[in-house]
Amino acid sequence: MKTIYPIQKDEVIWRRIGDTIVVIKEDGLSSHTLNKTASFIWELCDGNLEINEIANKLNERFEVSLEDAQADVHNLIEELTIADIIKKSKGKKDKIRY
Amino acid sequence: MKALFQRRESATEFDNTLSLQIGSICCELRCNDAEILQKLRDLYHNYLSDAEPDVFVELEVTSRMSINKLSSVLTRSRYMRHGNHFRSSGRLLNGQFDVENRTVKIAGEKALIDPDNKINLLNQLISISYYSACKMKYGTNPPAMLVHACGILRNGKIIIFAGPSNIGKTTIARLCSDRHGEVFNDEILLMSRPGTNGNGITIQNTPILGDLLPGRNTTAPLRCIFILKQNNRTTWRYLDKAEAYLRFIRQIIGPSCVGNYDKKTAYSIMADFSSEVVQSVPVYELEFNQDSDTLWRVADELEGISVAECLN
Repeated sequence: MKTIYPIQKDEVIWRRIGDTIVVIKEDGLSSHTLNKTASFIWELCDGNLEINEIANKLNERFEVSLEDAQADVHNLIEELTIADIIKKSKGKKDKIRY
Repeated sequence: MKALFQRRESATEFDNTLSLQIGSICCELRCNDAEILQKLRDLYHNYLSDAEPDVFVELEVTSRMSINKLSSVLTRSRYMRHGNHFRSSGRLLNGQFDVENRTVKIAGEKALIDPDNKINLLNQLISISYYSACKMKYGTNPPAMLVHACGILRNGKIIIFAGPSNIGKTTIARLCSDRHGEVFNDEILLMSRPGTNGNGITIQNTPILGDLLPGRNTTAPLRCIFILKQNNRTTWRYLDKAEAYLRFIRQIIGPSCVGNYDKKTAYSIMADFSSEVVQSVPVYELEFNQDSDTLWRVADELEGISVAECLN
């Protein structure tokens, strides 16, 4: 299985509002409101953590089994990728050449 | 661009400048058309200022087209921008930004600037001048932003009714009689950020033209925000902060200015502002059927609820 490092897309603007994170695309036309768990995952999508590492942190932070955490992270990353606000990188951000 | 304007001290035929105060910004407008300038002085008499200008707008008025011709050309006109220059198709408007000298030079058809004409660009001109000066003075952190809203001053505080054009802002202003409150503006208001020293948000009137003439130039603390929605009944609901943030950000006039921001910077400025605002004052959705009695009953009801109660 390939290692994936999810990373927030450059074109999005996000702000933490209370317990939730609200993500807006820079065209202002679409937005996504993330609940507490999704917000926790979103903040870890900086291109330096692999999906399983994010799931480990979710498992440590919330009362959720590692299996469920892995499924939750995987499903959310898929959703956010389809929504075009996350991209999947095959390498760590720090190693990416721009 | 050739120097078309004389500074105030060297003017011999007429004083071709007026200075307009928009919040903390002073904008000096120079115009080569005495008739237009006098109309602007009359229109903006509550907002004239002697302060040191933050930005200079040089307006060259041209009269090449009849109003009928202009109306037909306007519908097909497109706005284009190349570096510091901008122009519209059909030669209706062109100009350039000069960031170093804090100057915006604009040449445009008289009908586009004449306040007597319904199709005028004065509001855009004021908005661009305000944000341009803010950018030069405050960088990416303007102390106040323009918001699509009608304000009503009641019991020393302002309630604002925000929403896009044709949603009912002017209707609310017209439904406001002396016993209900004082109308600030029926189109666009200037909203401050919450103060860092515990002071709340303030609302300042602007020289922006709605259907009603701009009112007096004054400031008052903000009580709450209603986001308007048309319906066949009048009812309200409290918006949680995330929804309030998303609904309110759409009512902010984007900071379009000299040496424009890229899209992401502009949206980031709006996002920061919206986030600060919705965490400081209650935001409600108001479905509104244009009935005066119900509207003011709702306003009375909400004035009975404390701000802390709403925000917690």
